[in-house]
Amino acid sequence: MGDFAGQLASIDYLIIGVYMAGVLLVGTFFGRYVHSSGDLFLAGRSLPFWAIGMSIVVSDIGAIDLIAGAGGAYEQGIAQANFDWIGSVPAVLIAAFVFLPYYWRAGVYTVPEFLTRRYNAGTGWVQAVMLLFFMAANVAVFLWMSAVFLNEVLGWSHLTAIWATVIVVGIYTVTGGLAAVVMTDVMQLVVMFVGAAALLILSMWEVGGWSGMTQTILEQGDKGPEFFHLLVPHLADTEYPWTGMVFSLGLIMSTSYFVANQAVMQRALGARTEWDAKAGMIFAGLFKLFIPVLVFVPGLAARAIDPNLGDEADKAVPMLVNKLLPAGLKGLMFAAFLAALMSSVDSYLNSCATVFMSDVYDRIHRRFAGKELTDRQGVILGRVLTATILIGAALVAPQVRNFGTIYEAIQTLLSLFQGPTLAILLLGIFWRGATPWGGFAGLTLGVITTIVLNLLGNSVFPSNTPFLFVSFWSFFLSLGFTVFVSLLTPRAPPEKLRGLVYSRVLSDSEAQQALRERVESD
Amino acid sequence: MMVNNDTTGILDRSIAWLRDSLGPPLHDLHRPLDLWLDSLPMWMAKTSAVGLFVIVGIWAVCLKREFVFLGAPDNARWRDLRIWAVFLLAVYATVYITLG
Repeated sequence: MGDFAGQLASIDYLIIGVYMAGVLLVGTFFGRYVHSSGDLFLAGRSLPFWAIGMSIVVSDIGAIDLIAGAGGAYEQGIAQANFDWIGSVPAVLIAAFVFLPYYWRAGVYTVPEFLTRRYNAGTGWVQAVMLLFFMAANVAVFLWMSAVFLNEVLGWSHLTAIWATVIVVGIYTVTGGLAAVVMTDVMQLVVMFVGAAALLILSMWEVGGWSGMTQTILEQGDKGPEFFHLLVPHLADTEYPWTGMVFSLGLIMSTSYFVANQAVMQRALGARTEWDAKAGMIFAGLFKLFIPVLVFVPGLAARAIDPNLGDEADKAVPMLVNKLLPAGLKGLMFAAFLAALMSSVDSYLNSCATVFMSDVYDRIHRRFAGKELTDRQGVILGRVLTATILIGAALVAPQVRNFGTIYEAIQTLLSLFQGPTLAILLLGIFWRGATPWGGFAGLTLGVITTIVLNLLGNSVFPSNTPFLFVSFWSFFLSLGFTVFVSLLTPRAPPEKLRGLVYSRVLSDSEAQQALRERVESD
Repeated sequence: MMVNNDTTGILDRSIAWLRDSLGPPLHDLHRPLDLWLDSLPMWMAKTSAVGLFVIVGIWAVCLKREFVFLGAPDNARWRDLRIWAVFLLAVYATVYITLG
């Protein structure tokens, strides 16, 4: 990133300034519509499908993806694109047509909330704590990345850069809630796509189009035709064998990401109708089609231009920006990086506050105060919580520099509970026999097993980064733990399961009525 | 600092013990599966990926009309999410047939 320093012209600074002002204006505009915690965390259920789809995609793509994704393509070839292609499309359809209608009609807003109702409080707490830690840590990491970026580009000190980001993101996220986050995400997606498209077009022009680029890379001699194949043999010298891509990423990891990630589901649940929720999810799948083209193809073009980056593959995009983009477009590209960073911070911040409010504070408040919060109290508390999490993350952010691999650690943490969470969600929805202790055992033993398999790493699996294998096996082992313990422990009373089992939520109006009554009495 | 070093040492030794004791038997269990998967021809990889899209597409087409239109302001053809799903899957399947 240091390659960017001192490269900007006045027009670039102007574009970055206009972008920041636009985001602030749009974000704060939505503050006037927030009158309850439902408005703050679910946008008053008013979001159209196109905004939901665009927001889901841009929240998923961080600045690190723009840089490291291209670097990955530079090193590994187009197999990297599987993460956005087969890693999204079967999953968004499963989320849209199976899980979303279920969540929507069952009246749940967070995954821990579902797990508490379907299994027991312990299962919900374990999931809530893991989610909160993951999301809060992500906010801190993204703030630090933002600081490093602004330090390199504008020369600001790290602390100044962190607090500047906190102020800009904080103003619109605290005041406007989910609606502001989603609508600024839409702006940020447009900026990201325009900036990345400029880089794609100019880099392809430079290398003589797709055929010129492939010919050049093949003539360089160190990469064969498999560099341009999405699916590579199981034991090839790669981190991404086809078996892991199709069976682990395509079926398990991606489905878990789209149905159990609060940042994704919350947008869909903020839709104005069930149709918008489903359509938004599918629309996200359409935008995902373009991500590899915009992010990874420039990485391949960088290889054709300069095959000697060696271990510094992450410099592929900075090299292209400096070499190919004129003044003005360079500013747009920097605005795209900022957009990627800010959209990640605001998304995880809002979702983190939602889980804390819904699954921690609200439960404690109802138990001790014996009543629910009023709308006004909900808004005030929600805003205070959002601000507190953001300030806490800002205070922790400078420590990220002491943990060189913290980002990888957080991603590993995410992979630890993807398989187990999907397993108990599926069994909880489709099998009435899954018991409260079965769900708790499936989640906790599944996570412990995943940790052990991760530690065993290449002593068992044919890869140094075996997360594809680990997720696959942890999913099936968690299924086994849940079924085994469920067969040995007492089932929940049938009354508790009314409205919480898929077939009855979809078709049984009596069950839905029972659920509404339970929600009101909670 | 001493405590940190001790903790790191214990952690490292525990991981090493885990890898030494559990690694070989689990590796022996997993290895035949790896060798079998590696022996499969690559057309099976492409067929598996495209087959996944086809199966999901057939399932999407079989969804009831009322289910996919629920909540839609009207029943215009463009709002039929089954058509969206099939279009999306067809594009992705084409990508995997071409680049797989």
